[in-house]
Amino acid sequence: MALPNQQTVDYPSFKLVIVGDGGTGKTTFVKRHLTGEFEKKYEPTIGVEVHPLDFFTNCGKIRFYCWDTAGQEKFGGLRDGYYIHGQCAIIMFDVTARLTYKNVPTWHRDLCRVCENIPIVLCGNKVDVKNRQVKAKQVTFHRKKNLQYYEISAKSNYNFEKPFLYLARKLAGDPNLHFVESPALAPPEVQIDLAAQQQHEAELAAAASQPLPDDDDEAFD
Amino acid sequence: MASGAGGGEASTWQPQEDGLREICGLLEQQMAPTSDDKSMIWQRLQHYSQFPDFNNYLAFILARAEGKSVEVRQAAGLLLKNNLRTALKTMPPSNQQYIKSELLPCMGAADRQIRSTAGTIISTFVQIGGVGGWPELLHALVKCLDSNDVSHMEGAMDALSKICEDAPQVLDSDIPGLSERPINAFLPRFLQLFQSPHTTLRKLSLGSVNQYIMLMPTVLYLSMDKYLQGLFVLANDPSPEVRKLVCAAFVQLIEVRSAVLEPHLRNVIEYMLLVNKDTDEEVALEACEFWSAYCEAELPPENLREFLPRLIPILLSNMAYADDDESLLEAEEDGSLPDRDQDLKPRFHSSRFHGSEDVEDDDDDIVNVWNLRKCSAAALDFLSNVFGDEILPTLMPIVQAKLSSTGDEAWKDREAAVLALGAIGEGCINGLYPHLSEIVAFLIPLLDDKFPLIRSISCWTLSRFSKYIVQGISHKEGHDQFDKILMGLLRRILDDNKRVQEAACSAFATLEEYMQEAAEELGPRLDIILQHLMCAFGKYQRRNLRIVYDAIGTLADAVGGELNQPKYLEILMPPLIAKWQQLSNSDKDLFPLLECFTSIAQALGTGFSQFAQPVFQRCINIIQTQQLAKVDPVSAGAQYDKEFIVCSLDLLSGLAEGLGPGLESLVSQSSLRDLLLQCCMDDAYDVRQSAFALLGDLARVCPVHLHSRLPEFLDVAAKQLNTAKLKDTVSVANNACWAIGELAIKVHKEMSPVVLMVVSCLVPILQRPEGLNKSLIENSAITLGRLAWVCPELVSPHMEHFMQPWCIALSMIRDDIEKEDAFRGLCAMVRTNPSGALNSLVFMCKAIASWHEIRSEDLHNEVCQILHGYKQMLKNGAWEQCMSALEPPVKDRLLKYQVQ
Repeated sequence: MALPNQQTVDYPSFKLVIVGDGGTGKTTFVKRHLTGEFEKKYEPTIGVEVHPLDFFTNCGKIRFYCWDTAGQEKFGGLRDGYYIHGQCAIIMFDVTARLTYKNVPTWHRDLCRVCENIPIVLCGNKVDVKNRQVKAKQVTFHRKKNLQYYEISAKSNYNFEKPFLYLARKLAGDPNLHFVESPALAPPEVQIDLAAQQQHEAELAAAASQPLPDDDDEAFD
Repeated sequence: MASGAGGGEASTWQPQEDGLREICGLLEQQMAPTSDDKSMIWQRLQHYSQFPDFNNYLAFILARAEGKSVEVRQAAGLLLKNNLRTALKTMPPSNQQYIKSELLPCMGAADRQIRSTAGTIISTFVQIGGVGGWPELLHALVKCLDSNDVSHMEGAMDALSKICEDAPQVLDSDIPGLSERPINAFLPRFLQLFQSPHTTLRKLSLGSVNQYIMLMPTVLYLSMDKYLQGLFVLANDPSPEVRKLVCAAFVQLIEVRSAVLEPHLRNVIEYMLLVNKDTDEEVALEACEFWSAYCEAELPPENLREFLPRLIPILLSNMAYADDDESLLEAEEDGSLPDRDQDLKPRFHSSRFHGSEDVEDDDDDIVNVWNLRKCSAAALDFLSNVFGDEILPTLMPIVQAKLSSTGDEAWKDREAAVLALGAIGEGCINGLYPHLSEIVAFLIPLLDDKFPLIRSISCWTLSRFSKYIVQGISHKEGHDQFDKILMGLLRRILDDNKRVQEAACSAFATLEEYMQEAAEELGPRLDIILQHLMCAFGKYQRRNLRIVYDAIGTLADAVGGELNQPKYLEILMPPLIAKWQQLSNSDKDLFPLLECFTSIAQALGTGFSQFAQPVFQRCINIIQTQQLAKVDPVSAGAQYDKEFIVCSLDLLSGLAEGLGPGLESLVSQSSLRDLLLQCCMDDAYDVRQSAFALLGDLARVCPVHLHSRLPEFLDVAAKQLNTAKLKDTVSVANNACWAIGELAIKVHKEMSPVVLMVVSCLVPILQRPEGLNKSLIENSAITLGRLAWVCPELVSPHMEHFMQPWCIALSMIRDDIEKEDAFRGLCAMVRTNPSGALNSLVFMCKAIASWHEIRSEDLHNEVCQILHGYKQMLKNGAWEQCMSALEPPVKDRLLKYQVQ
């Protein structure tokens, strides 16, 4: 699809919208690819940042223009205005913060109202953290809405390619499409300085102590 | 401009041309798919948003900027919608009025995106302010729906469907100035639209009604027949989206309003059978949810029974892998390819815990893929639990036919048949049991099938029968079959395919777990099992290597001391030690190896001493390095990760448990005592948890080496119990509590300085056990008893304060050595202060009666003496009164102590 002002490349490219609550790791996730690094500190995204990510498939190279949108309300910018002409999407939540999963239906609804019938992947990020609040069996939203679900860790790179591969297959209409070489990813064992780590843990502790309505299994009935 | 559906008075507000151009330009730039920094543009847009009529501009752009691209108009509309959430409350009424009046005509706009954006904004208005303040809206919606103009009808339906999704209750409430609830006017129109020739209208109207199944407004309840008729009319709709909504409606009705479906149930089931085979997979999947929903709603099985012969074949054919299933490609992966970081799921070590832990489900086995195959298998599992063996006469012939289908192209059917057998493995076991040997005989050759996914599913299905396979060992035929299964699984452990390796290892682990009670059967096969596991160990890539560590650990747990034979150790240890030497102290692949050694050390007992020295030393080194890394990663040359400390502490505990006093020489030459004290004071609770577990273990085997730091250890342990956040650190408190008790019975009177402080922490735990875990209560009761035993003169003056809750806690504990210690404490206190128990005599008797048998003769005699003492002490019927308060079984149990 020719988008207005699109930087053209001579291979297929797709607009991929990444949404989800602030702090769930959207920016960290896209920055794992090639150019990026694991973000040591959390700097909220303002509005949107667009990252072109290339992947090599058995059918040739493809590009995802990843629209990494702001999760925080106050920095939201156009919010769903950025979804216009989105061809596929990732909804991210943080398995260590229950509220971010509770908000998934809202992100999904807003997305579907702008982009009808696009392939969507739900990603539960931060499975590298020991005490998760959203257990795998509690994740049921994707069943009701026909989304693909992957658990990922932007920190360790776990399942990094999976969401992109799923979307590429859907967009190409070819279930046999596969990546022929792995994109260069930032190494998983990152040097996090102690202060950052402590801050992270403090944030987790704060999140854990946040009172949330307790419904253990079905969050969305 | 589309004709004004909503009317609305002519507004005086007009945009400035400059402002219009500027805002449109910024919106365009914001949306441009360039990687430029958009925050500058955003700041300018923010600047504009300070103007009070900024939102009027946005409304104008959406509604009237005809020369602009649809994207810009849409973006303006969405931005307006987002602004409303914060701005509406403070917006001047004239601006609100302007925006509303611009929106209503947009519902009839020729462009669908404009209509849809308007619908989204309108729903937001309604969500925030209800409909009462916007009477024109309801009129406009009705007018549009009745207009017979498709754009207008779609626009109104779009807005309504969003309102129904976002705030259905708003339409089902009394509105001042309206004679009836809005839904009363809309619902008949929705139902009418079920018959529209326009797919979008059918879809939107059906979706809107479905939103009310939960709320069930009176008007829907009264129109139920019409709704159901409508659903049946739409059942064969050419649009898959509509059919999917029909299925969703029936599924939801069966979940929450099954009574209304009851008269139509046969028709509904017939329909579900039909669409369960729909060519559109999403429709079939939605339909498939019906069967699980039916079972979960616990509706009468007899209504479903007669359909089983038709349902089961459908489920089975839907269980075959779809062409786009990710597993198909994954199964083709070359087993010799190294795993990448992104293939490795982060894993966690759980810190050692002394006591019975509250079981928490492991997440490991949950795969969140949801598709027709999984949903059908889940439905079959449900059916097997509801109907049990009854489904077998239908199911088994199909399974057999599918299993015997030959040829490469039929492999997916064969696979589905094996999956089906596993799915019913629990629900139908009674019916399957007589045929189990036949079934197993069928499955065994499939372990060697040409197709990897058949090999892996056969491992899984066989493991589902583990319990019965193990039970069958006692007779000859079962014994032979067990051997065949074991050998088959071991062969598959060495499969070249990673998925098969994984399935075989976990099937083997399941079998091992059931073997715990028949461990002697594993003994004669240990040789061959170890050979296979160690061969896998050399062959596997990183991901599956973790599983093989687990399998070795589980094996060690299962066979225990049996493993301690040179012939086994010669197979097992060299590869593990080689790996151990190869991994650096900062390699996370060390974690599963440390865990594996923990199991082996415990299993081998003193047999592990030949390996103990380097293992011990390495644990010390790792802890030292990590403690340094925590403050100075550069000079430590490692990145701090507390998991290394936790795993090392736990392995040291394993050594203490395995080697017993044999550990003493290693401890004495090391700095463990000081390291451990530091760990006990760590800020990370899992480090403290493991540290106190080790403290308790060391107290058992070599207390003398803790001696010089005893006051510090006791002080920091007691602190764990005295915290406002006890519930958050309950596992730490549990281990610390246990460690104090273990120390007490070793150092006796040296506890004196801390005894009362600890008792004062334990008593509140016993008094208010609600919300704390069982293990902490038990350990608190035992430790209190141990303290009373070593320092009765200090504790007994206070016993009146805790006798009752303490005795209640004691009576929950099963017979063991620790309970004996606690009762020694009880006896010691009562001797020192007999009147301290007078008020709690009934509870004390119940605690004594909780013993099945006191094995220790001296303790038994002491308990007899105490009871006799009280009997003599209590004259004037007081003893009899106490006895009469006891229930007969309790009284009977006291007979053992020759008192009545």
